[in-house]
Amino acid sequence: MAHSNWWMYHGDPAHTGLVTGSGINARNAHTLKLLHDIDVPGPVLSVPALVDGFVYVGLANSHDAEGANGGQFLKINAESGQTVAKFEWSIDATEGDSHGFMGMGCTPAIFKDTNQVFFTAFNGKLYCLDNSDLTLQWVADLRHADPAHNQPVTNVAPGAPPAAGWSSPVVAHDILNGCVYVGIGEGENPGLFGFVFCLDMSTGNVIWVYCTCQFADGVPNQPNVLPPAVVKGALPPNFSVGPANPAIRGCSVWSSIAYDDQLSRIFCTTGNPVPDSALPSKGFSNGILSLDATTGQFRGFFQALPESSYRASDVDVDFGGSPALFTVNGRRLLAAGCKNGGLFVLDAASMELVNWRQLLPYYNDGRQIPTVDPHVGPNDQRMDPRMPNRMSDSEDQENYSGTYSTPAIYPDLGRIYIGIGGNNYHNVQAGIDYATTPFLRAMQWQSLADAWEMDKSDPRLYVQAQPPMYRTPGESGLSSPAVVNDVVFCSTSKIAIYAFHAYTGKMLWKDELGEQTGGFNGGYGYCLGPAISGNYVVAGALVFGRRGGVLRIYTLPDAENQ
Amino acid sequence: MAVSFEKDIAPLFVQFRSSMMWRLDLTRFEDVKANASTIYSQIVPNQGIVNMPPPPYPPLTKEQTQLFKSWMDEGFPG
Repeated sequence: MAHSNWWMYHGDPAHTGLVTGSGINARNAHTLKLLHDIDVPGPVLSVPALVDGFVYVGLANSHDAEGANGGQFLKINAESGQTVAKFEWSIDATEGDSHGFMGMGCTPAIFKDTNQVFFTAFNGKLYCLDNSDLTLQWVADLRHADPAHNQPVTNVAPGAPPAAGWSSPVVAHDILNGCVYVGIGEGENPGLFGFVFCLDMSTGNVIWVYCTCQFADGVPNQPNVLPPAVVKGALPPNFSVGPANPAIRGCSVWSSIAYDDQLSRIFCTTGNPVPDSALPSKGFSNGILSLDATTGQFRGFFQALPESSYRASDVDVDFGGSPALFTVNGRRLLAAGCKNGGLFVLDAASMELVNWRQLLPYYNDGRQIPTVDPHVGPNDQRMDPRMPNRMSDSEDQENYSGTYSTPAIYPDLGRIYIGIGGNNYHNVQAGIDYATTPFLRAMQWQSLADAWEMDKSDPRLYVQAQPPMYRTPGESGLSSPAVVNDVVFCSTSKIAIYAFHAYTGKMLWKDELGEQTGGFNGGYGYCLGPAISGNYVVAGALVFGRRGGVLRIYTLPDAENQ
Repeated sequence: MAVSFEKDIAPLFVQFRSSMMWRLDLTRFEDVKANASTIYSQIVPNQGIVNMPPPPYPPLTKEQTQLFKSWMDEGFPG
């Protein structure tokens, strides 16, 4: 059986995280061995791509760039560990993203039929390289107007972070002459707007643009209608300027857009609005937007339910991960997780809610756990403060403990897996209440009930997933899992990568890639998930020391490979 | 006496080097010069909050941040 390539974000355009044709299974996963530990000149803040035995990975910052302001994109032979091609770019120190990243943080899309590689970068540009040698084919500027590519949007505002590219490109080769879709925006800048771009794969010319900031309440936006503030010059044909700037800004598409070839639609998760609020929030914020893949016409929008927030006082409840599409009994569904801790399953055609659950734990009598999603005032600088529920429920604050993960789908068993927990640089919690919250949850895909055995404690905990779960302070599942036969892989902020038995939750294998840094805001440590193809498993990370990054390639031992 | 990167600035940052390698090398002249304004904005108080260095390190002293400012004002001597 031919094995699947991990050729774009979460493996495929539907973002299932499902790997086929691999020899890795629950019987031999414990034998996975480190094949290469590659010294990359900067941190990896993305999941690599893995195609035909080659690893494609970009750096979030490159020490090889002038002043360490720029990025580097590498093509590496997985078997030899040798870099076979490299693409580098430098930018001005002011052109990076709001967190200090200057390179890239997305999974590239490798489209073999046309020998093309696509990735977005923090400078707001979408690059297309030749797959053979990584030479540049075209680059489209999606932050500033780029008339040569039919791109009329200038999405910058003085004194605040510029629009950036975090969204991994998704390729739909069967739409028009082949299209690539990305989201570009910035959620922390009150002057900026969110956009979805559809570009021609071969030229980089923009086909349509959809503004994710709603012009009028209750009225869907039209494609190619732009806020006046982003138009600085003449418009290309078929574009027009809206009557006024949308009052609500932000609503950025942070993660990769999912494409469904059966419905010919794309699905874009969106972030918080500016100004922000608890749910329900205004505009196309904190939700999932469905657009026609060919025309960009609005097809539906779903916003996380107010009652789905762990606390009604949760704000900044972006959907940080992507939707994953799957079919149950002939019905096309999508699943996506929200920073408020909610996991939602929708009918992909109608965008109607099918089911939802809260991923964060409650006490067995249904009460909130005070140490889960605690809210403290901005001037409270205590580390890990203990807040009673009544105080957290009365203080609007960000939920740092929900999910940023994209679900992985295991059709054979009818299960969904998703990481839980957030970043670890805030004083109010290290992204997860580790003693009560699993960093990976396994669920039945119809009932969304926990699929792994749970004990009778209060709150209930997974039995066989301990260790490693519930043991390490701050170890969160800010990553997206992958399913390979009867094994589910996930990575954590420890920084570690694990393989669990997909049926039981028993840990089968692990590797620790490095330590968290104590950087900028107090602590960074990321491994956003593995890429898997054939018998190779690849993971990159942002780590303490070295040159800030690590890239590891694992495989089965020779006997298992035969 | 003129401020020097090697003698005055790099020693300020050497203890934070490993923590910040994800972004840049705080002991490398070219990296610090290219990002000097960003670094300065992080080590001085902004609305009472100092972002760098992160806990558990204490903030740089006023004399140390002024030294860095002087180095910038003097044109980044090596």
